[in-house]
Amino acid sequence: MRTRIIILMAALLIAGTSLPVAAAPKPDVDKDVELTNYETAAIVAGDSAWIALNWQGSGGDAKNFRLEVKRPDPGVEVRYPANTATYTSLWADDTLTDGEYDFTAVHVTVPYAASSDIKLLFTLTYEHAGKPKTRSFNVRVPVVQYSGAEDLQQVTASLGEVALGESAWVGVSYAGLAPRLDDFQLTVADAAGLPIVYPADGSSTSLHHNARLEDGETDIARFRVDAYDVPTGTYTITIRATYRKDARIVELLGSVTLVVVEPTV
Amino acid sequence: MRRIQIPTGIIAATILLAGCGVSYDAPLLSSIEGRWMCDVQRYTFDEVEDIQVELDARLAANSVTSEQYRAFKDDLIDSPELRETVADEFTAYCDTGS
Repeated sequence: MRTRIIILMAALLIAGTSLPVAAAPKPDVDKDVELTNYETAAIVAGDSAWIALNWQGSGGDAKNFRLEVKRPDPGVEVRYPANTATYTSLWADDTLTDGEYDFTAVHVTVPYAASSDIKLLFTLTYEHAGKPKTRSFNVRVPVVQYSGAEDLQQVTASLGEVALGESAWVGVSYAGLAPRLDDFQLTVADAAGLPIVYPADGSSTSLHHNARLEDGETDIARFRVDAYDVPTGTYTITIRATYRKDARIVELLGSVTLVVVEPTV
Repeated sequence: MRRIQIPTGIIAATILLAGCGVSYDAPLLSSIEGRWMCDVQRYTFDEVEDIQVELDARLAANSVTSEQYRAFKDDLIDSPELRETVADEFTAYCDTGS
């Protein structure tokens, strides 16, 4: 599960610093609602995740609890649960009772270019004792850098067998390791004499689900092999995967084997 | 993600009969809730549904049904004592990070 990987990476990368557990609350003059974590879980630069802010009521019910982010920094994207859409509220309901704990969830996308922690300004509105209240909270989202040596991993080593005189769609699977790789394209760099056809008679193929490969995701790129008028035997096909990591285009060469066999009668 | 391990002493504690007729172990639920509220802020989740999945897994690992948890959450609203128990668990667990 990607969550676990991120947690592990974050833990390793920020080793030596404390986790954002119950960060010391800042002075709070309006004590009917308290934010217990002014620092969230860490997000890897280039990645996106749901994070939680934890609240405790302390002085009567806070009703119609609504939280939203004001003017996030350029490149930082924020969205909310689908049922509220333009804001987030408490997980259980929209009222925080005196002494009760509950949390709000927010989805944050951190740009690849983020080299330091990001700060989010949250505006909270609620009704307390029949009066509307508005408060602001500055929350720090720690950003860690992905430091893996590989962005993705070619999963498929063998394309299996194709009978002589037939054509077959074959697929090469890739597993994403880096947070987000866009514009994935696969071409055959050296077909070893085998005729290759891409989907829609194009000049390349992409991944099945979409052209983005995320960490923890495995997707497949397909192309067709026309095994006409070629010798039987094992072929080693050189493939070239290209993708965009932030603004940088990266190329990865690999190979797969394919066996052309005599057709069965 | 780490699962909650509840000390057996807590499990042996009082079973509370909730107003809606669903019985549950109040100290156990308070412990789960306090720890969950601490842990949820320490983790990221790919999908918003993963948050509920994680909570459900914690309940299942402690043999707590969703009906029992719902009854407990309903009672939290009316019971300052129950909220205080959760707060104590949250503070003890979160302050030590254990």
